Amino acid sequence: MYDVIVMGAGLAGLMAAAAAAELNKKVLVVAKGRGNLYSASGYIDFLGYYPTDCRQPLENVVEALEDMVNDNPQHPYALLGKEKVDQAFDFFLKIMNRAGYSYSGSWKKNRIYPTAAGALAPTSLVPQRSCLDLASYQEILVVGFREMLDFYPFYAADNLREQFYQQGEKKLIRAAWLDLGLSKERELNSYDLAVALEDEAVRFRLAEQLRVKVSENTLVILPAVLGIRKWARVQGDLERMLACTFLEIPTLPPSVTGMRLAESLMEYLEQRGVEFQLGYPVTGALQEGKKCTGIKIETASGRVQVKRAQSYVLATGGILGGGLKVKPGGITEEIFQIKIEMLQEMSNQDFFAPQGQPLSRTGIRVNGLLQPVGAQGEPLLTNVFAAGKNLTGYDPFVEKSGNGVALVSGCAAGWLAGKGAL
Amino acid sequence: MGDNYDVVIIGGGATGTGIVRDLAMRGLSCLLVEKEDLATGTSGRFHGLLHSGARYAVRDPHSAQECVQENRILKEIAANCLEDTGGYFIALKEDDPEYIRVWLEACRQVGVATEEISPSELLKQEPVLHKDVTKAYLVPDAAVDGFTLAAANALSAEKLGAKVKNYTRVVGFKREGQRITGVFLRNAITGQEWEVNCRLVINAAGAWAGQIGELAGVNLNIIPDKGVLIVFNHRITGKVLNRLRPPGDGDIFVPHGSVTIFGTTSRATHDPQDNQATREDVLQLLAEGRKMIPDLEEMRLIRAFAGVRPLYQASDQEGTGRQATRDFSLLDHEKLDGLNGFISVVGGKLTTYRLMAQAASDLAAQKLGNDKPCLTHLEPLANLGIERDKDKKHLCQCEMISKGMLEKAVKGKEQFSLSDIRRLTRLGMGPCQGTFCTYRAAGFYHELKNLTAQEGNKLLKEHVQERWKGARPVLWGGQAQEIEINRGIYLSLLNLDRLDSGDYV
Amino acid sequence: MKQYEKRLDYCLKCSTCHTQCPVLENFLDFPGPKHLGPELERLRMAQGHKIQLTIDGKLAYCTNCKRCDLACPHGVKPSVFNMHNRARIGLPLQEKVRDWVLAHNGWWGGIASHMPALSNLALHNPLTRIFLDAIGLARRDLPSYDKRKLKIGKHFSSQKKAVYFLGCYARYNEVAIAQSVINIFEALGYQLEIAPLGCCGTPLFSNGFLNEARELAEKNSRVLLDYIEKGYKVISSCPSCTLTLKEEYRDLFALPEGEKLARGVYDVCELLVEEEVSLKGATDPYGSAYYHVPCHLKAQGMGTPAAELLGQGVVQELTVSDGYCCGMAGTYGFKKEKYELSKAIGSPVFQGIMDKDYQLVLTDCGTCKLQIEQNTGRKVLHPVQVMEKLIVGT
Repeated sequence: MYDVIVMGAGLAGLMAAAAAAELNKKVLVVAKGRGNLYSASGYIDFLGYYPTDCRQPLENVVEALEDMVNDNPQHPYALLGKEKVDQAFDFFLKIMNRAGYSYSGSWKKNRIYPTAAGALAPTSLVPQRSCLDLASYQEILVVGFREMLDFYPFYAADNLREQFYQQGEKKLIRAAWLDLGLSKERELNSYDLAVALEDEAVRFRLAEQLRVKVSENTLVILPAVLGIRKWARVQGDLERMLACTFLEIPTLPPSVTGMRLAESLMEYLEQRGVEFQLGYPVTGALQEGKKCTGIKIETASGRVQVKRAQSYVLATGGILGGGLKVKPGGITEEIFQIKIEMLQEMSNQDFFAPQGQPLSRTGIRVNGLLQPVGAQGEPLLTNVFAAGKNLTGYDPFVEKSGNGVALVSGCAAGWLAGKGAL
Repeated sequence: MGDNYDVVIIGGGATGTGIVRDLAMRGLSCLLVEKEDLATGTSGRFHGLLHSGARYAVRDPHSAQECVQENRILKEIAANCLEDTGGYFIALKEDDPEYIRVWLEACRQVGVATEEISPSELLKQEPVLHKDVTKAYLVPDAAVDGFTLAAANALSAEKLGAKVKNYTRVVGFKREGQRITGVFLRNAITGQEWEVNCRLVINAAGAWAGQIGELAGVNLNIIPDKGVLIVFNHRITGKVLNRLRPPGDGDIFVPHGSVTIFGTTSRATHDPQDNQATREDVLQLLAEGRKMIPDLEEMRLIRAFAGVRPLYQASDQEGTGRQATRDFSLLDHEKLDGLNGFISVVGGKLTTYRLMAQAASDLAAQKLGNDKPCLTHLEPLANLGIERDKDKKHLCQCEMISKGMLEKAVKGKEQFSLSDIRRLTRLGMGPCQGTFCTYRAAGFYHELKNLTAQEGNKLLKEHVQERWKGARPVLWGGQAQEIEINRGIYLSLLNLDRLDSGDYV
Repeated sequence: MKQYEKRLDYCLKCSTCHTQCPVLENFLDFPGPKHLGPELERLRMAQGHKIQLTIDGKLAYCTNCKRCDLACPHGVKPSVFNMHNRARIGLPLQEKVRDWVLAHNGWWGGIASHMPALSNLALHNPLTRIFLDAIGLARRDLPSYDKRKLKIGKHFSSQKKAVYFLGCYARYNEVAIAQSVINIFEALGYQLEIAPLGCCGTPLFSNGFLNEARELAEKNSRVLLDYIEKGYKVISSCPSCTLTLKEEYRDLFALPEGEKLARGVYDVCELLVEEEVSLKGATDPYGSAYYHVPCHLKAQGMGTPAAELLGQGVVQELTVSDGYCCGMAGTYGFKKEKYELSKAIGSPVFQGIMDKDYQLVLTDCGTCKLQIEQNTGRKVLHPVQVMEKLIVGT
């Protein structure tokens, strides 16, 4: 018997587990696999563009949040309110600090970072080690690796140059390819390079090739490859050897920055006594009235294991995470069989439509306590709290709020579930 | 005053490229113009089936006979563009047993080789099939790649001195009295215009032939007929599958390398450009296909697309849709309309493209006083040389495409889109539908071709949009998930929507 | 077959599995589970395509730890493809011979158990060593053969019936583990029988002898299903055996009654937890223990039943470590070319054990135990060996 069972191991699930553990609850995290953090940037975007059709990043985030309460009351931020947002961000910063992988920034202010395509993009929190002000660097060197096909320094540099030029900022932006002489057997991704760079000899090779290209004023922008677990050592060594500054950019999946966040959080949670059972999905739930009394997991034997708790957090993800199943005839949440409102038109002709895609906006309707609700707003379940991408009311991809909603709703769900268990 | 050619061919589909090869082999100087890229029309938007003739044996024996002959020829000359899979015709319990008898007799008449195999043996070969198959016959169907077929024909012609210009639109005809003496052309991307002179124009614009005819002042009754096809993530069967019944919707499965194409439908449309499949089309196809493969709905769909059949009606009495003939027609406008220097070749199907090209070329040669015979059935097509190489670093991992292949695919191209590359290499045709490789390819070409940031962004955005178009009608299951990861990458991770890509918005 | 095709279709190429592969982390040229599994399998299904795809020989470096299966956010199981294709790698003759020797450990064990003393002598004979070197066995200690005989109490009839699938390790190399299991279940009132069966087939299919393994699976399955029909539960103390009986017979070999068999198979501790055996009130608890969760136990998705039991007060400070593979992977760590890699993979486990002065080091798997013992110098026990006296009494 647990106090809280969290279903899902993405950012929402892990934050819910952390929040409940903080209340000294006995917590179990069950998920069918590792969460989608391994495919995400590892930055926390709170709200980059609002309304979503604006060209420029959102300046006054606090005001936008207030507007949202009126304009878009189903948005998870609007449902939870500013106070919960504040608490969740503070809590995240606190536990990441404890976990040894600190973040910095604030949800109230968008900071600008380059993406792997060289676009300048707004975000709220970045790992401490990546915390810097682009404006203060006059000289930028974008670096790629020949063995890696997931990053193109000249392309990124060209876009950066173009955008800075349009903003009237003059910077010296160069690009370079390095070749670390690693595997000839296959293409490497950022994870592979990050593993390789944990080896001192490889690090040394990188430093040697960069030495002639940088000075102490140079900002070296490179894909996120500076170590997985030994990241502090890898970046520290390079900065000592070259005296320049490094900025890692999140790359296509597998994302090293996302992985570091996921694994440092999970390790922290394990130390706090949170249990994990990953690899097999929750296949259903036991219910008495509006109360969930247990969840079912089908293990390798095909027998069903029932796990029980006082409260449950449903953070199984949206369509990508598999929390919502899309079939030709409709969309359902399959653990509690929650029907999802079906839209007439699920998609816009334009992939880049600024209003986003209805498909990504679908999800479970919840009340301010994150309990799933029915058509009349009545709670369907009283001790189940939903969080993350399975919630309706937002399209994270256009408003750039993915990890932000996961973080805020995950924390809130964890607190609510934990308190419910008192 | 512009360049001079013997013949200008309009349309870069199988027929047009077939003609330019044929005429070039006869020593005539030719220019082929295509408003987009080669095989972007119907030649690249069909099921990819090289007919054995069996499908048309009952209703259209003449057409079937042509298929029998061309099937044999293409297996010889275009081996690089096709996979000789063989095909099955299968009858289910609900299918009319009488039709089987009629069909077998018709196949015998037109010369399609059939070989009966027992349902139990069939199930061993193709375990996904429905258990209630009553009869099954093996026929010499094959899978053909329309993209590389057109490209290989074009390359063969270019090697003999012909010119092939893509992204070139015909905007008008030069005339002297009742004679066409040349064409006015416009680059579809830059807008630059120029003219060329020629002794003869051949209209091989497929579904667009009517529009070209109009531009020349002649009336061609082309009835665009839309056929929807869907693509499954993996190869479901080893061989082509046909339903043994009168041709209808949703009765052909064609294994295409690593994927399976399933179709088709037949709906009249007014617009040759109407190549958008809808969700309803897809669901209707699935309902039909499930009768042959019960688990079909559990298999991942990766996209849906539509092609427009350029059905030709000489008079209003002929049938439409499935009833219309699949035969082709060669129109000598000198005889029909009193317009010299202009012929059209319309109707037909990809399997018989070479025969169509031969007929058109024979007429053209005769008009131009060239007495060389057609040799296209004897010589193999040129090799495109873009096969999988030994490089173990794959830029597109789903289909194992290396940088070297991308480099070869773009050789000699002034203007190109990633779609053009995709058609030649299969870049982005796998399960991820470009989620990972579109960005990589754009980054790669940006550097290789010295593109500006804007051009690189355009390349990238256009291809993301193009893949999106195909995914929209199949947004459920795995592809709904793939689209979410795709949006996550291109919008959240890369913030591509805020990057400048010039005219593409 | 249908099942595995479905899973293949759901690979979104996110590469999460790639980041969890212990081989890849230590061997950069290894193509990783996503590429070797669903990616290549899809292309292989396009048989007859212009270029025939061969099986990448690097596949032999897969340890079948199944961490990729557990990592996948979308339910794809790369290991299923890998084990299927393991049989199709073209290996040099020397490796084939060596793999045959390793794959047939049950066969050797059968011979050796008749003359353990002689066999152990032979194991340590310099001539044997020369032979083993020649065929590519790593220079490491091989497990010695155990000559003790199992003692089973007098047969009695009970509602609670279990048939014990010994597995090679408990049968040939460490009879004491089997004896503890027998004693525990007899004490709990089980009518216990030893299954008249040898190897489960894991060493066979993980060395590429798929057909032979299938024959064995069919035979084992028939015998065990007979027991299940009669109301027996199938138990085993070896995680690889239980995983194979539960999952591989069903998924890899697609045995028609694989599902039924799987539902009747229990890890010994799993059944103890289900029996709600209480170990509370241990009078003399151990101070600290390091419990290494074998990959094949973790892969069963049932949590860590042994840790649940030990956590009831048997051990005051229990460190449960499931984050790393020990690198042994059954016969893998015995292969010359993989020996160093095997140690590198396991080094976080060894480090974890040596960092602290644990009173006990525990693991359920026989070959994990060998690997840990040889690399840390610590004696390793099976959890049942610790539980025995609490359940059975003295």
